[in-house]
Amino acid sequence: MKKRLGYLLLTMAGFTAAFAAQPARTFADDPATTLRGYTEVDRIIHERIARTNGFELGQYLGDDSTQPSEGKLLALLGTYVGSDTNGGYRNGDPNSVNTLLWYIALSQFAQDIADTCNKPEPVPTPSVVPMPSSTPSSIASASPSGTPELQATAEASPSPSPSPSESPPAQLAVRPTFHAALMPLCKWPADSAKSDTALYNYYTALLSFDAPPEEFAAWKDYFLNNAQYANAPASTALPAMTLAALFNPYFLLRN
Amino acid sequence: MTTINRRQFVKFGLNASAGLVLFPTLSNPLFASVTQGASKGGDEDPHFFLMITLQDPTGLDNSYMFDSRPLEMTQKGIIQNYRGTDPNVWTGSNGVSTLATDMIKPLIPFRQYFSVLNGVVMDTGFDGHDQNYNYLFTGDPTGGECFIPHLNVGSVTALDAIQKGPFRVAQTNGQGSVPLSPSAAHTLISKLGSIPALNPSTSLFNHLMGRFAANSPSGTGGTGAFSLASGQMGSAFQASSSLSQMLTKIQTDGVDSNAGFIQMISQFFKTGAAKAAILTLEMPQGVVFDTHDHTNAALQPTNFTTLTSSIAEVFAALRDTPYDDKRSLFDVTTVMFSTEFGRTLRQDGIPIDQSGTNHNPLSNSILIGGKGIKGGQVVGSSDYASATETLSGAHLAFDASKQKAMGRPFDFDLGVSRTDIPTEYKATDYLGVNSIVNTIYSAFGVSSTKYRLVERNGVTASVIKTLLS
Repeated sequence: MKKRLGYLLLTMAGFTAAFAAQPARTFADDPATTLRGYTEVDRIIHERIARTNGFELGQYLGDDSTQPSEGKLLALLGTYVGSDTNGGYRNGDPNSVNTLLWYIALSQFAQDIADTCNKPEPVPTPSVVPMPSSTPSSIASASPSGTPELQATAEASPSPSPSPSESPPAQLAVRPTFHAALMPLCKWPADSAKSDTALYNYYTALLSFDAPPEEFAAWKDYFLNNAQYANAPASTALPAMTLAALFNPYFLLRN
Repeated sequence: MTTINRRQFVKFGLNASAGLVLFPTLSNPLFASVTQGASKGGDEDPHFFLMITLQDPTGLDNSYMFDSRPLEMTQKGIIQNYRGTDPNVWTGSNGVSTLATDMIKPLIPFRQYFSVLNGVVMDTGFDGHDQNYNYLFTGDPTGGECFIPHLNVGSVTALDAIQKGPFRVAQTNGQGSVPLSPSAAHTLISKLGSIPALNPSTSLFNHLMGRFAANSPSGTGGTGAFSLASGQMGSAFQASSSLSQMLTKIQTDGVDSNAGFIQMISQFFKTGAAKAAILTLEMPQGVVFDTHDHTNAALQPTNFTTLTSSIAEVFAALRDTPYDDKRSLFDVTTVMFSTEFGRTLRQDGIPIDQSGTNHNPLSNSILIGGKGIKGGQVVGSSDYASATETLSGAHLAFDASKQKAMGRPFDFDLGVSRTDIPTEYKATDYLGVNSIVNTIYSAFGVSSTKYRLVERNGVTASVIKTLLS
């Protein structure tokens, strides 16, 4: 209770705007809250992480639409459908399909964030960064050395080639503020990357104050002490750290 | 793929005769493959469900299919009829007849695969699309527990159902069906190859699971809405690992045709990812069945031919898609086609040759067949079958202006309509959609605790035993 109250105060202080737009749900209407849905998560990611350059989270699911439409995978991540009496928020209850889809999207997104370590600091003004047509998408070109532990069996599954008919998606370009929080972590496993300040800055750059302190503590403890990641290079640890932060209920669920 | 025993041979012979008389130019159904008789018992007893429907708002004028009326009634201004011809007699394998139009010709090759249910009473309290759509799927006009997830008996599937096309029932149980067209599934499956495989044995997977658990009611999250969802998400993440492994075994060509969907669900069924599917048929632009106006009503003969062709296409895909080396997908799947309600005979105050139709929840028609269901029958009937018929007091209480047909009272023991004319409506006397759902429940072995009631606070709706194979 105390945890939730503390979280509520933090939220009210800093992020009321983000939550004000959410429709009120009562326990009587629905005993469990729902996934935030694609549109909201995509908006949050652009507020905190990604610059507005044509990049959309949905491109990791083969759809760079800004709004999910029925029949497409993005709609399965939670979306509003219809305006009649049976209209409403659909596919927002966590199920194996939308959870899998979030995992697919966020694990690729985490890899692209980690790859940013090797890119120059972004210019402060938003600009379009088109991907050369001859260059494979960063989505499909994740370095094997940069795979988190979950990728142990991924080698057997070859990455699909982009369809010739698909225009290349815009490459992820991060916001300067996010870049500043990311850079110290790029030096992982150096001590400087493991400082409380560096870890906290990166964690809040991803989740803002959405999650209570216990979540940051658990995340930090896991990566500082896990044998797989504690001394691994950033190319291995950072995708996993990013995925672990984003694949948290406080990021994906309405609260 | 199929065998015909002596009893079936006789039955089919009778029906074949009827078919030859009624539709002499059509192929003899005796030679069609038969889907009944799948073996039962053990792990070789797969049972799936396919719901075929149309997008709400619809409501079909069943007088263009299997609940037609003689042209004489049109000439007397009782029922609109833009066919201009008399219907044919369609006799079921149970000896019960109804009138069917030429529009159902595409379905004739499959006449042994399905039974026709006529005079099915929907929600007598509401005549809105959404309310009756909800009533069909949940037994409650405002929504509730959808019957489809309850069919997952004795197994835990990753998905309640896969759907193609919109399905917007106000559902409170299960995980909800997942709209996964062949093209969307194709994309999902291809994307699985570009991500880290979900491996529950890794420490990161367990770390993620740990955060869901910690914030769930089983952890320190309490019992609030967020905690419940966190717990759901943990379960879903665990299941998604299994699902991702199943999906790697599925191949789909990504073509969003109905036949492509049937082939895809066959693979989902085989892998255990789902036991049910919902196919909302997509009609071409301009094909409208909610005909409140003359213009659209006049197009119904063409529209119904389009519809029955589409249903026949699905039936053919079910028949032609092998489940294993002995059975077709039809052999292992109970199939139901229904919309939310039927339609009135005419519109009040409009000349019969200019009339459209309005909503009629007092009489719907449903097609049902496949595993667990005796095909070829005609079950139930609607009243107002002739211009001179005396309508019951029960009917007139709902429809004083005689614009509707209504289901006749039904004898659940014998599986036939009754001939009495009740003065008052008692829901237990009628073939309601809740009885049909309970019959499906019975075929699947769903616990009787899930059975629907005839009406709120009423008794359990009777199972139609004569419909069960």
